Amino acid sequence: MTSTLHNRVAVLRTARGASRRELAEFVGVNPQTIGFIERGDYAPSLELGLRIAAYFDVPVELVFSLTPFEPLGEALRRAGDAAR
Amino acid sequence: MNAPQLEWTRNRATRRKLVSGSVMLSVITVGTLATAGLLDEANRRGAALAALVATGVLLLGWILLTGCLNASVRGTADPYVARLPGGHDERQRLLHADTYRRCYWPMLGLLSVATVSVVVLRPGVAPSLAIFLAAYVAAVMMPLWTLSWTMPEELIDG
Repeated sequence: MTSTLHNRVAVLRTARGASRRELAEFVGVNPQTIGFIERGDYAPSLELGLRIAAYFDVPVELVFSLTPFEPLGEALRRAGDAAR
Repeated sequence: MNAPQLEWTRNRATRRKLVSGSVMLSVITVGTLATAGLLDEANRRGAALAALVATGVLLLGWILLTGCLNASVRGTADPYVARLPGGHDERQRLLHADTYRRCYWPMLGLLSVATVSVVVLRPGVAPSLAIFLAAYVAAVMMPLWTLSWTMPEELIDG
């Protein structure tokens, strides 16, 4: 069940200061399922993906991607360069 | 199935120990029951009764161990939990279906052995019963054993 779906669930959840249990309760799954999603061991359904995106109040493509996400440090450096 | 009291069962090393224990206890329980049958056929009623009592005690241990094993995978292999509304989430439903799909042919083979043992070995009741029970128990327990043995480690909440 290893997926090629990349996600930022762990990053977004940590930034929000939420536990897996809190996120799991909001989206209606077991906390362990959130752990498996974060680790990339399980690719969620579209419905669950949309619910997770709704929890973070961001578009779903900011949480899930078929290609690896740019490292956060790299994105921030690029944003900083653009702002100068 | 998510009882925090059984949290100690939910790591891979413990799950594999529980599976090994369950396989061994299943073999011993069926063996003891077959021994009871053989002793009864040999008209050693006292010894047969003792073996039957031992089977009952072993069976209690087997039920407890199966409960722990079921809790170790949060009831994901349990067909009854699967049918309950809200019993499994989508990952557990997928894992449940995947486990039963992987075990389908081995289970069918074991159940065929169980059926054949009853038909072919009819003259000897005890050996026939032992083969039937061993094959049947192995077939019924196979999804739970497989899932407990193969399920990835859960992440600790944080």
